[in-house]
Amino acid sequence: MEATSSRSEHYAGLAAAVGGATTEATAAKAREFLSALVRPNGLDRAATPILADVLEQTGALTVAANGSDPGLELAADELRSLVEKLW
Amino acid sequence: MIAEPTDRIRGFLDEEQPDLIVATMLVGRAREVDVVRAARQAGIPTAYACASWDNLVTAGLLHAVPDTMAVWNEWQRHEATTLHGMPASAVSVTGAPAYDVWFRASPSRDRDTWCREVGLDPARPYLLYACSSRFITEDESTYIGPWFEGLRAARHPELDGIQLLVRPHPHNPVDPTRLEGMAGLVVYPFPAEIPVDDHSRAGYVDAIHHSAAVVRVNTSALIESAIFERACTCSPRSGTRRPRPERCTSVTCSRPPAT
Repeated sequence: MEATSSRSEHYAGLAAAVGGATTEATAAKAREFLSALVRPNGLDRAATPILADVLEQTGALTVAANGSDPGLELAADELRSLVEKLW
Repeated sequence: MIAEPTDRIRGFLDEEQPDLIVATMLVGRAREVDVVRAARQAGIPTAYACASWDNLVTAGLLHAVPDTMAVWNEWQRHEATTLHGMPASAVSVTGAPAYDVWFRASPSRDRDTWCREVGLDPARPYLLYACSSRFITEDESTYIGPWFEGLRAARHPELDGIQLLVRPHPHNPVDPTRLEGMAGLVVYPFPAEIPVDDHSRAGYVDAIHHSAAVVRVNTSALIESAIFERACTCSPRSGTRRPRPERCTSVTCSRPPAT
């Protein structure tokens, strides 16, 4: 990512892009961005099959029926703490 | 968000007996929360496939804790474990499945055909302005005109004769009458399209691929533009709800050979 501080810089950056002045180095930055954010397992490796494997593994888990909910417990703890502070 | 799942949801799971429940949103006002809670109570495995880049940092804590979580990248793994308390062993980095379709895509029309079809001059370059959702901006038609005039007035030789293709966001309509009469400016497609079928996806790909660069405030067009190796800049729009309006950011990359 490159930050500019004014609209004139923004326009200048667009002019450079339109004029083809951008370089392979900046293309590498885009690939780096995609590799880190969108395809961290490799730019040529689709994410969908990896997700499918994760879901199949999850579906094969043996999960005990659980009346408790960690999310609810966390919220309840937070509420209790808040009530104690206010009380 | 701390209410118990309804009998209707419990009854649905009891009737269907699914092997797995997959949620794509468990933060904010997600409706899937009650389904995941009911599934956990029933002993049905649950997974959360994180839908977007910022879901774990902008919409509060998870309202239901799944058995496993699939995230885009290492940043999200860190967020899942440190902010939401997910065990590291339950979090998998898969990448972003929703973008696989764009990595596979290629332009469907040559530049001349595309430009004539949408009403642009094929002999001159154009910028693609990808509008943002209502969550990010108001109707951008109030801003685009002055921005485009300013761009032309900047008198950069590279921008001489530049055209603008405005692509409305499917969930945030623009008022095209505000942009009527501006030479070299086209609003397309109108009405807006969600790129989910072959026709609309082809139009989106062609719009990016044949552009000289992409401009937006904050949309996923940043990612798609990077995939198609188009420069993508963030316009310094005033009145934007979330990004810092005093700054403008850009990701610039080289232009591949024109087809």
